Amino acid sequence: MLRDITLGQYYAKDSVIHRLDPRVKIVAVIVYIIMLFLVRDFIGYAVSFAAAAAVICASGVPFRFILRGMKPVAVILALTFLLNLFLYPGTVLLSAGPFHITQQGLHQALFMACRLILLIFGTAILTYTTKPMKLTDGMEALMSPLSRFGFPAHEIAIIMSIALRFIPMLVQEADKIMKAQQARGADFESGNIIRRVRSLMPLFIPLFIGAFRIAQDLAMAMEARCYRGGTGRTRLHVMKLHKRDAAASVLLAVYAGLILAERILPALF
Amino acid sequence: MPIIAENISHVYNKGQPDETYALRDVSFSIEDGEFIGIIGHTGSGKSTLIQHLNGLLKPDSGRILIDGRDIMSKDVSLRGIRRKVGLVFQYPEYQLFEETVAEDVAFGPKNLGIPPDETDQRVREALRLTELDYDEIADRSPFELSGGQKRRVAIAGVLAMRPEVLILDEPAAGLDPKSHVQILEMIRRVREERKVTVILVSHNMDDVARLCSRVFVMEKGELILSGTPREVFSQTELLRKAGLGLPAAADLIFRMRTLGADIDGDILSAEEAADAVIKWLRKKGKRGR
Ligand SMILES: Nc1ncnc2c1ncn2[C@@H]1O[C@H](COP(=O)(O)OP(=O)(O)O)[C@@H](O)[C@H]1O
Ligand SMILES: [Mg+2]
Repeated sequence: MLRDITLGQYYAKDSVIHRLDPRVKIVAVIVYIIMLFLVRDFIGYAVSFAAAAAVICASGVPFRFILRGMKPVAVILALTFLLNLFLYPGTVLLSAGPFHITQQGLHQALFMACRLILLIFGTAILTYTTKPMKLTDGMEALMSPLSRFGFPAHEIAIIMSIALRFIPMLVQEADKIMKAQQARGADFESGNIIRRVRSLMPLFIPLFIGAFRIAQDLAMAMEARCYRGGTGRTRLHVMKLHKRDAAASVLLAVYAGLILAERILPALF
Repeated sequence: MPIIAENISHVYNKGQPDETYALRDVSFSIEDGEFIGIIGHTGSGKSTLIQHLNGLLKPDSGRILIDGRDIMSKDVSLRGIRRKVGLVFQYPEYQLFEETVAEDVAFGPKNLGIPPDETDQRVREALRLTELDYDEIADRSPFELSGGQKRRVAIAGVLAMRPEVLILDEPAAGLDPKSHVQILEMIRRVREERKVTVILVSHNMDDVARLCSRVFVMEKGELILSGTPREVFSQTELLRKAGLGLPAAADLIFRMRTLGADIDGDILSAEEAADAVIKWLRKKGKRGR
């Protein structure tokens, strides 16, 4: 049951999208997200969907993996859709008892659902095609100009990368502990809510203790290898921009241009 | 309570890029009172295999029969199976969580709905079996004990369920030599006293040769060899291919043989090795004279 967590999982493959510089990919996703919030009608979403689909195809990540990344947010998605559908005021299309579906409500519900789905597509592509370590390297590089003003860019990046590496470890650890307690007759699945929360104590206590143990070991190992923070540290893999990164940036600009034009032009006329 | 595995296979992360066949078509049967040793290289599927025996993992194909009934069928209670088949995981001390040792050991019996006075009795018995002093230790926090003591407490937690089959996954891993010997001695005594079937996963060939009545050899998810320790440890070639060694005494004789000493017989224990070497020296002496 813990295996379903795919958020932030990397899909190993050697595609042009995988090879892109992480900085370019992060900027692209940020631009893409901003564009999604600027879009005013379904034409903009169609363009965004086409762009996302093209990138997914180029990345070679099977579409079902992208869809699986949606599972954890499916509830939020459904809730947003239903709330918008039933609670938005406007011209009534359909009504049954206390429930009314308005024309504007339907539009709004579809609109928000599209936005959410496309948002997930974007972040899913990023995490499926970029190794966590590269992702944090990229973020660190993008944030590093801020370190001149005392912003702890390196520290934030290392915290993120360690956290990212801890997640699968903790999931595994939790799985092991759960099995061990199940072997002793523990039951994590039945009973009322209070019983269920209580039944989690045998899981959380060893899990936290284990997390502290691992954290301490890691800190010691890092110190034993003379880790001393960001200043003056050099990198094993120096990030360099290639032609493909330039090409990707041009395509990104075209996409952003299309969305902006679509938003602004009607206003001009 | 015989345990039968019929052609079980297990795949982790099916359909994903990191799909792993952890078990392939494994079959065996274990009779009451046996002492089974499971050996195999790291990643050969030992832990996966034993988790099938109490229904923690479900085979992707094949079935496990306990008392003649498929444990995955609807009318078999998994909790009942887990009571009868006690499983001690690797590094079990990392799973302790209660405030006191006594409460931690009582976790299993409580889950089984055993009344308090009987639970208390079982806790005392389990601590005695694991050679821990109830009066001294029962009210202490499990987290302030030594590594060896913590492991005993964890094993006591499984014994308190009074299983009929006791499975231990590398129970001596990471212990100092003295605690190692003590833990194995304890397992041997538990087996004699409680008449349980024991399944021991181990990397120590000497322990397996000395204690077990039958040995299973796993390689890459397959059960490649099973038999008495003597039968198994005479298959030097197969074991070497599976990345495994021999018990120290058998290894010594094997090396002497490769250097040209004509010693015969399957040798397992130090005593047998000593006898064989003496016999060989005498023979050599006579020939030399
Ligand atoms: N929870 C798991 N998820 C995915 N793969 C696993 C898991 N547990 C074990 N494996 C894989 O299954 C194989 C057998 O592992 P395991 O049964 O732990 O072997 P052993 O106990 O003999 O070292 C290994 O390749 C291991 O990487
Ligand atoms: Mg193992």
